[in-house]
Amino acid sequence: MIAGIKNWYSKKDLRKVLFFVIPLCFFLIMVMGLQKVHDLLLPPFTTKTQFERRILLPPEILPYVTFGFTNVLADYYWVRSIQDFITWDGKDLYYLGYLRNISALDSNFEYPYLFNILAVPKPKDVPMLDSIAMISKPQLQESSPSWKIPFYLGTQYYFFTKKEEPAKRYLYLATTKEDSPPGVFLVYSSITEKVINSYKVSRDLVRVISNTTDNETLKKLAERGLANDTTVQILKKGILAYHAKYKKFPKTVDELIEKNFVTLPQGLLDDFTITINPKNGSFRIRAK
Amino acid sequence: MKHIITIAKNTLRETIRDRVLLSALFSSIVVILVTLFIGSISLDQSTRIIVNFSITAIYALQIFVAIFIGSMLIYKEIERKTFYLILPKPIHRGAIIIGKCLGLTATTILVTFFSTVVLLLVLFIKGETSYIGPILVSVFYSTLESILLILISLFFSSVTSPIMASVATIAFFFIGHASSIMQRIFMTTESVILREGMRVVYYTFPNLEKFNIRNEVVYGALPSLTITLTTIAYALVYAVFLLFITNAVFKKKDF
Repeated sequence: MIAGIKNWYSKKDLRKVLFFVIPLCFFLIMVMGLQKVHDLLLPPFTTKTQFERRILLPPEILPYVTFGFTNVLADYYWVRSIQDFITWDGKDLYYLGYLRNISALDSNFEYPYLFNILAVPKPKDVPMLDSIAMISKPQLQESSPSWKIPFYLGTQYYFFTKKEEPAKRYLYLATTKEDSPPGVFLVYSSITEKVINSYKVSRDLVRVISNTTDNETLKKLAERGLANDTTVQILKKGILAYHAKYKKFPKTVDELIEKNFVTLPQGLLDDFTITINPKNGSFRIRAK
Repeated sequence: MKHIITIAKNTLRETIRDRVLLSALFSSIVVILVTLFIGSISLDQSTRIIVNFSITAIYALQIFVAIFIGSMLIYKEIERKTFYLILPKPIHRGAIIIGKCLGLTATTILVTFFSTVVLLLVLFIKGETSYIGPILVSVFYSTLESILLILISLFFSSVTSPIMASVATIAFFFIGHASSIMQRIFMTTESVILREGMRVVYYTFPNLEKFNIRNEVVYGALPSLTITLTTIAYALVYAVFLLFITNAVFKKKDF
C-alpha cells in the first residue's frame, strides 16, 4: 500500500499540486478573514428587525395604476402587512395603510379585515377600531355578502366599549346576511333582549341558594330550578334567534334543534313535552 | 392553407428551440413553485396566494412570448436571410403573417399548457381542486389576449426594428389595460377635445381588460356564456382587423 502511495506521488508532480493548494488555502483564509473583519465593522447582526415606515401608494390612485394586476398587488400588501405586524408598535396608524390599500384593490378580500379587526387594535383602543371600521365601510354595506366583518366588528365594539349602540348596529347588520349562522342571531338576541338580564339576576339568586343552603330539599329544589331555568333560557334565546333569522316563530322544538339554534340536555325530551306557539313564540314545558 | 401550416410548423419548431423561451418557461415554473413558500407566510391565505401569483406568472409568460419573441420573428428571418428564400416562392405574403401568428400562438399554448399543468399539480397536492375550472377559463382568456398581442407585435415588427416593435407593443399593452382610466376621463372631463379624443382611443384601441378575469378566480366567479361569447367575438374581429392591416403593410414592404 505504501509503495502504491509512493507510486502515486511519483506519478503526480507534487510541486505543481502544492503550488495550487497553498495559494488556494491562502486565498480562502484571506476571504474568511476579510468577512470576519467586515462583520466586526458593522453593527452586530440580529434577527430582530426594526419597524420601518414603507412607502405605500395612496389608495385613491391604486386602482388606476395596477394595469390588471389588482389581486397580486393586494396579496403583496397582505404578505407585507403580516411581516410588518411583528415589528409594529401597535400605535402608529400608518399600519392601517396596508388595509386601506388592500381594500382599495380588492374589497372582497375578507381575511385582512378580520385580522385587522381582531388582532390590530389593542384592548380598549377605540380610535384604532373606529379607523378600521371606517376602512371596512365597503364591507359594511347592506349589499356586501360578508357576515363575519360586521359580526367581528360588533363583538369587538361590545368588548371594548361595553356600549350596546355600535355593537348592536354591526351585529344587526350581520344578522341580515344570507349565510350568517345561528350563533350570530344568538349573540344578537343576547345583547338586545333585556329580559335575559333580569332573568340572569333571578338565576344568580337561585344559584346562590343552591350553593349556600344546608337543607337537602332546598338544594334539590334549587338545582331543579336551575336546570329548568337553563332549559327555559336556552329555548327563549333559540326562539328569538330563529325569529330574527326567519322572521317567524318555529312550530316545533325539532325545528330549533335541526337548525342548531338550541342544544337541549340529553334525555330531556324523553321526560318532557315542549310545545311552541308559532304565533307569538311562547312555549310550555310539560312532564310526560 | 398548406403554406400557412408549413410556416406555422416551422415557426413553432424555431421558437421552441429558443433558449430565451425555455428560460422564460423555467422562470414561470420556478415562480409557481416559490408561491408555495410565499403562501406559507400568508396566514391561512396560501391557496389564494398560490392561485393569484401563479396565474399572474402564466400570464406574464404569455405576454413575454407575445411581445419579445413576436417582435423578433420577422427580424430574425431577415437577419438570417431565410426570408429571401421564401419571398420569391409563390406564397402569398398574407400566408406568411398568418403562419407566423399561428406558429407563435401554438408556442404560447404549449408553454401555457406546461406551466398550467405545474400549477394544477401544486393545487392537487395541496388538495385544492375547486379552483381548477376558473383557472382554466382565466388561462383561456389570457391566451386570447396574447394572440392579439402577437398580432400587434407582428404588425410593429413588420414596420420597425425589434426594439421599437417591443416598445410599441408594450405601450399598446398598457393602453389596453388602462380602459378604466380612459372611461373615467371621457365621462368626467369638461374639455370636448379631450373627451372625444379619449372616446376614440377607448373604442379603437384593444380593450385588453376584457380578457382579465384573473382577479375573480379566487372567488370562483366565472363569466356568463354571453360575456364569454362576446369576448371571443371581440378577439376574433380584432384579430382579423390586425391581420388585415399587417398584411397591407407587409405587402408594400420591400425586402
